[in-house]
Amino acid sequence: MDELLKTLCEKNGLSGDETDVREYIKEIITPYCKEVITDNLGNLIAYKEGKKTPDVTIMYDAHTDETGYYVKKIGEDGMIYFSSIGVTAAVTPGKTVTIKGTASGEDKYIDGVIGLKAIHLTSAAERNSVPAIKELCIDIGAKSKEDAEKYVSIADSVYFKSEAGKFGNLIKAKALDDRAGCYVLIKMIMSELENSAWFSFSVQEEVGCRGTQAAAYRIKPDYAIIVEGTTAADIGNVDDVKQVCHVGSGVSLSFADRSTVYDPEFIQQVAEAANKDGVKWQFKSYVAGGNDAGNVQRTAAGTKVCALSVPVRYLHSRISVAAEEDIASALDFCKAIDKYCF
Amino acid sequence: MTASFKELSEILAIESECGYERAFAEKMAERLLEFTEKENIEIDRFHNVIAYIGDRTKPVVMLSAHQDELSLIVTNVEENGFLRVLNIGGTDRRTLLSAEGYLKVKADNEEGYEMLPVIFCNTPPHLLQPGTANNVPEYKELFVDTGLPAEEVKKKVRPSDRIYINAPITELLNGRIAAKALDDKICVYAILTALKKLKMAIKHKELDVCIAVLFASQEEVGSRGACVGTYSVDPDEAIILDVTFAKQPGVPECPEMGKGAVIEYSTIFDKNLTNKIKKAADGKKLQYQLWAEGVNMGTDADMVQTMRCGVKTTLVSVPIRNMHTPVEVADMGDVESAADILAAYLETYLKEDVK
Repeated sequence: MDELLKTLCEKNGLSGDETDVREYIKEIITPYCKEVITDNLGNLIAYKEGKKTPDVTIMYDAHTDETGYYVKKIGEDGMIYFSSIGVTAAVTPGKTVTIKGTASGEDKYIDGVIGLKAIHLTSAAERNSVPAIKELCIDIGAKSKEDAEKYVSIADSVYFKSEAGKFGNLIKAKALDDRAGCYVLIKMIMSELENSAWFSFSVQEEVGCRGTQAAAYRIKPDYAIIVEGTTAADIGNVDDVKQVCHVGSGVSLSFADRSTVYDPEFIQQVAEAANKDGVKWQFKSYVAGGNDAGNVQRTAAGTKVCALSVPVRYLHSRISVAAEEDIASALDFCKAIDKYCF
Repeated sequence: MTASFKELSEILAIESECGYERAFAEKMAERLLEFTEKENIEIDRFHNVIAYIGDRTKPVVMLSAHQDELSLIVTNVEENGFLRVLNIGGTDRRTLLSAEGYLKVKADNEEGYEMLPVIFCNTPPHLLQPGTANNVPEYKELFVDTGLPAEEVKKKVRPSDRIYINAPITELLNGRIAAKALDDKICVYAILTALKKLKMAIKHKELDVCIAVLFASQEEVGSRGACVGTYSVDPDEAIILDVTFAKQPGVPECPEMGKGAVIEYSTIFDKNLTNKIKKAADGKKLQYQLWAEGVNMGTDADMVQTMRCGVKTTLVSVPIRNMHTPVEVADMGDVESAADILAAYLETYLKEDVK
């Protein structure tokens, strides 16, 4: 697995807590950029000069935040209750997590587990569904509330604990949605571009595509390319029509999702550009999900947007799966757009 | 990291799914060499480890814990390369979605196994019907991903191959530990620890009793190893060590973690034996909890009691949370406490002249 991508995935950045991811990216891209700004919301916005400066303003966007949990309450028995930031209850119990504890005044990670009443003690109905998130709790081994409060405070971020690496012919990691997109943007910035462009590493996508609204308002792009991770449901016995996209079949290009109806002309233009360079891509074949494109499209007087999504299995869970060649094709697709579209 | 955590971690790291306990058994047999000669240790057809410590003409007190752990078994390799599985033992399906595991496949032309990483598929939200988000799929709807092309999966994987959950061993606060298969490897560890406490008495042959150790296979599918193992040992008394439910949210009426091992009473156990263990613990001022259950409690003790002409049997247990999940939690103090209680009881068999 590519080292840069691996490190990006291993960085922790729950929505609203993206600093570690941002600082890491900032350090890498600063030498390549004419201007690097961190705005009020925590978006990292960079301007990179290309061989020419086109008449139009171009923006590339990827989000830095990831899903996880958020400490809500510490029980008298030292158990830690939490809310979910984009994670379903179904994938929550029986997992190991790490809490970015702030109780000592600095960040100190502390591991814990999300338990369940033993199966022997459950009713048939209880066995066939997981408890609601609000009934689940994290055990860090604390014996009382006071004991836990030495390490954990309310509003601390909780992260999945899983190892990034090779998975069969694919790769696995937490937060591929959307560190894969961050990776593509970083690689764009590190390479020579035809056109000068703005790059936004945006915060809080997972909680309503919030960061990008401010970033796009600042940049006021004519064209925006959103690089995302999207659901690949090419698993188990899912019907073809509901599979959305396939891991290994190239980056997916959206024509419509829950947040955006993409401009058909621009979509055709970018698709032709990709085809000229023989980039492997697929259409996202199901109208589902949404991403930063929606808000960018409707920023200021409006933007022509396209969304390039890396197919990711099991996103919003402790471990997601993607193909490195799909991430490479996302990068190639961006380069083709830069080459032919402006 | 404490020495005991490290030693326990080594034991936990050896996989021992039902029917495949051999590697674990061999390691435990090696550890038992510290207490007895090689000819007194055997691994039987069930991969049970049986060891005799001391004079075999004396009455036999058997200490037993089970060495097997939960796993899943591949039942079908689908056309698209995904796998279908079933459980071997009481795996909690509620913990499987997005869990990772290892699939053990026979390597081509090689000794041993190849370990393929797997992920338990979870359904993306757009495919869920409203109101079903918290449902846990039945095994027939549960798929396992290997990340490999279908052709390669078909070549490598066979029905009957086993999958075990890849869960980290996590050190928690206050000497607590989270891992899979604490049930019942912490009790294997407790027995080894008890024997260490008795090491001088064993070395100088000061015990007026023969200690038999049985690390039993296949408990999770119905105490099958303990059945044949106990037949072989033919003990006079048997003390079974297993885990029990600890108090946790949603489980209010149970022994508590961190308050010592549990000396268990039950109508099927020998009350006199349980009382003797309690008295030995009191004599050493050891911390313990008492628990009385009406009938059988689903441990090897149920089976052991009725072997041959009957065995005086009882149970000492270690309370754990989240039993049968990949994140079972125990307190190392309770494990140590179980070892202390066993050692205290066996010391009541010290020969008169060394007491």
